[in-house]
Amino acid sequence: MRPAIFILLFSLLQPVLGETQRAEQLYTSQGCAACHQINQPVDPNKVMVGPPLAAVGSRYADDPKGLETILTSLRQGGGGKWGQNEMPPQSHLTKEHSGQLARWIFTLRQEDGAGDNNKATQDPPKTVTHSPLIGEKRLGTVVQVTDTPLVYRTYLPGVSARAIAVGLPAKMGGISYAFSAAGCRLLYVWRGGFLDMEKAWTGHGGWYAGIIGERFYHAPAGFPLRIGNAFDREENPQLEFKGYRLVEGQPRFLYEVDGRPVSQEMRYDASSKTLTLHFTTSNITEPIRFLVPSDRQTGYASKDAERHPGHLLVHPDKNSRFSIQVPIQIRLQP
Amino acid sequence: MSRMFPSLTAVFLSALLSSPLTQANPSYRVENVAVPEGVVMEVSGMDYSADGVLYLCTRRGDVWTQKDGQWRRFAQGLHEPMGLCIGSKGQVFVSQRPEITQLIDEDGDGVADLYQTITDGFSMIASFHQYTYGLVQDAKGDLWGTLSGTGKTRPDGRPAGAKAFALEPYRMWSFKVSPKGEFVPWSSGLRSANGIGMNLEGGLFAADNQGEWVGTSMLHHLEQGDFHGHPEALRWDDRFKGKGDPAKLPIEQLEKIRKMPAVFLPHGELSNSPGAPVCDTTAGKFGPFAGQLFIGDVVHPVVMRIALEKVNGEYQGACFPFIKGGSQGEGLKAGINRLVFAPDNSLLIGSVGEGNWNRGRPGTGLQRVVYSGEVPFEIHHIELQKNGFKLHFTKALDADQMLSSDQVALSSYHYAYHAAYGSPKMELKTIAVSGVERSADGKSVTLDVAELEAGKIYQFSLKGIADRSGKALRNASAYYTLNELIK
Repeated sequence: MRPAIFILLFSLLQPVLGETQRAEQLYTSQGCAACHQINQPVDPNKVMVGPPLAAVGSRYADDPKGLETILTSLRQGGGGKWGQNEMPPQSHLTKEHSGQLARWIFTLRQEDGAGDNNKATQDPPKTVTHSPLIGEKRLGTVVQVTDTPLVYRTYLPGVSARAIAVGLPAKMGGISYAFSAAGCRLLYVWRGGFLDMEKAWTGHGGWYAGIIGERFYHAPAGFPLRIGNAFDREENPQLEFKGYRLVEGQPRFLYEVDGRPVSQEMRYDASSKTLTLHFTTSNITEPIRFLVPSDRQTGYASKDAERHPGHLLVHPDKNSRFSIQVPIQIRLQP
Repeated sequence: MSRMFPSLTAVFLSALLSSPLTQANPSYRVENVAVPEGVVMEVSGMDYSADGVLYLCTRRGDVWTQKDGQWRRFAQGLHEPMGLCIGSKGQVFVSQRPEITQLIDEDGDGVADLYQTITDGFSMIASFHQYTYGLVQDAKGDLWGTLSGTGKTRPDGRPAGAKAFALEPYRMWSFKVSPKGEFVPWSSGLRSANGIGMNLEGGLFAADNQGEWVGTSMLHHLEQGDFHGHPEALRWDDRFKGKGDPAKLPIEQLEKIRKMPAVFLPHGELSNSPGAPVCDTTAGKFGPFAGQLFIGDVVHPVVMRIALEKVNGEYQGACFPFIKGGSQGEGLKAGINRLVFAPDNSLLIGSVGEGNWNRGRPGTGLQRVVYSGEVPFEIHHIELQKNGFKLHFTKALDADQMLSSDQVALSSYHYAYHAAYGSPKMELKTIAVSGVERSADGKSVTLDVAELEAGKIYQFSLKGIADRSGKALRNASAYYTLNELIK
């Protein structure tokens, strides 16, 4: 142990009147309570966000480096000691507060009957295969697509709070994608799985869903459609999300562009690795353009539109229904 | 949709198996209600359609229907919906985190095909603590709900603190959604008012949850422009917009504009985390409490009862325990989030599951409370008098029994209005009862109290009160919130 840490620990061990009460207040005010109970039996059949703090104290009770371990976990984050969740570094804590909390946690002990049986949480979760009615498989909190598409609204990494995850069965291409309801557009595509809802569903809930698999396509920034000749490439038109209709299980997204109703569907063909966006509009006589990023021009294709630098111009007689093929390159893992 | 999902035309055949849990209460019995096997059913919204179909949404984003014991999934993949109501034309509305949505079954196969955005006219960040609570519809077709405060969140969605903020419009406000989908912010200062209810007069009520600026949980009457107490919300009030951090306003200034709650729900005794209030619309078929409000608690298995009166034009009144859980209780199994009266006049109870929502207790799903027809002996309501209180009972008191002021323990206190999380009881003191008088019909008792003070909670604890058959009061405690003295 380096002297600096030794001195720090030594100073931490000095008793201070009322520190327990202060630490309990910190436990609430600094957000610990969002993930940790103070004293609660560890239930092997239940997913926990973080371990009860009394279980942490009990585990390190006889460990001469116990206090240091707890302090390090608070400062630098922790993981792998208790179930699958990682604790982020609690960098919002001052040195004084993290010391108070660490020392308090170190003194906590589990009540009778609440033994450290955490090892049981390493057991694989029980498979809950729902009735065929459900159309999905939930392995613990992992949601898998079976033979019908899934549409889940949840927080997704890299999407606005108004996010929609879509998972397609193998016969429909087997990919998953993220759609932003705020931006009315596709954001990215992944494959290899759908979602882990653990942090969205368990504990307090409401965290981001985890994406299972590998993201292999990110759409260019910005909303791609422009209506009329006076268009601005950089500025999105006025967009209003209106919901979605399930068509053979896949979502047809409904939104308004400058007050004009537009619907959009996406289809993926796994054999040709082609993603096609299908748009429908009504009563639009002005030109409709689909913007194409200058560095990716070549891959875009449409038999309903004419290629121009920076955009595809929809043929006027195709305004009410047109399709755009989007180039997707899948980088295979070496 | 049925073409793609032939299996969806099947139905769950789990019968509505109800098993009585206890006969301890001869007036009300609690029964378990079977739910589909293997489904985590954390109930977050419930309502019945006119033709008696139960619609129920869950925190995991499913909407289920149930009729005649047959369950089927009506919708899925919603973002933690926290309210559901059936509109006057049979529309299914849900309040999910990002929006108010109407679920439409276009082809009539019993499964929604169209998830139509009614409004998303409020801001969102991806915070764990951004709930869109709801949902009721009034006679004009307007929908009503509340938006919780935001919890500070790290970039990956993890909570970064327990305090609530309103950095985006219109967090911490109640709102109205017109039939055309117009979002109208209504009243402000609600920290986390989990759900909304309407009484027989059309008054809107929501119960805020104890926390910063909320000394104890409290039931608010929501009227346009009201400020209910959490100053963060004032960022979006025209009077304070752009004028800095409203949480730093002097408390005296906030107190002047704050509307007091209709009823305080004492923390730790009655409620730690109330859910949505529901009005007894059974006109007596659920017992003698027609028009009163019932409300569950997400942390403790308890159903409370609230009897309001209007004094000087403002709602105030009393809350009482109604049905309790726990080993000494009456069979409630878990924390309660939502309540709804069923077509058979039983009270359906929706519980939420694991996690902070009910401190790790198991027991998601449904129970119900069934009235036996035997009138319970309870304090029906408390009516403020010029010089005291009049306690109205559901039954006449034993006519031969002597009544004395020793049988009434009365105390008063208030909760601090401050930025800290919660409050102890402040200025708790015993209040002398100088006279006790029974009415001629024996159904009410007037208590003379020398000094009544506005801004206090009066806590009653009665003992030795029996009805004519010698039965004791079922629940002998009551809490009256006195905001207004009779002028």
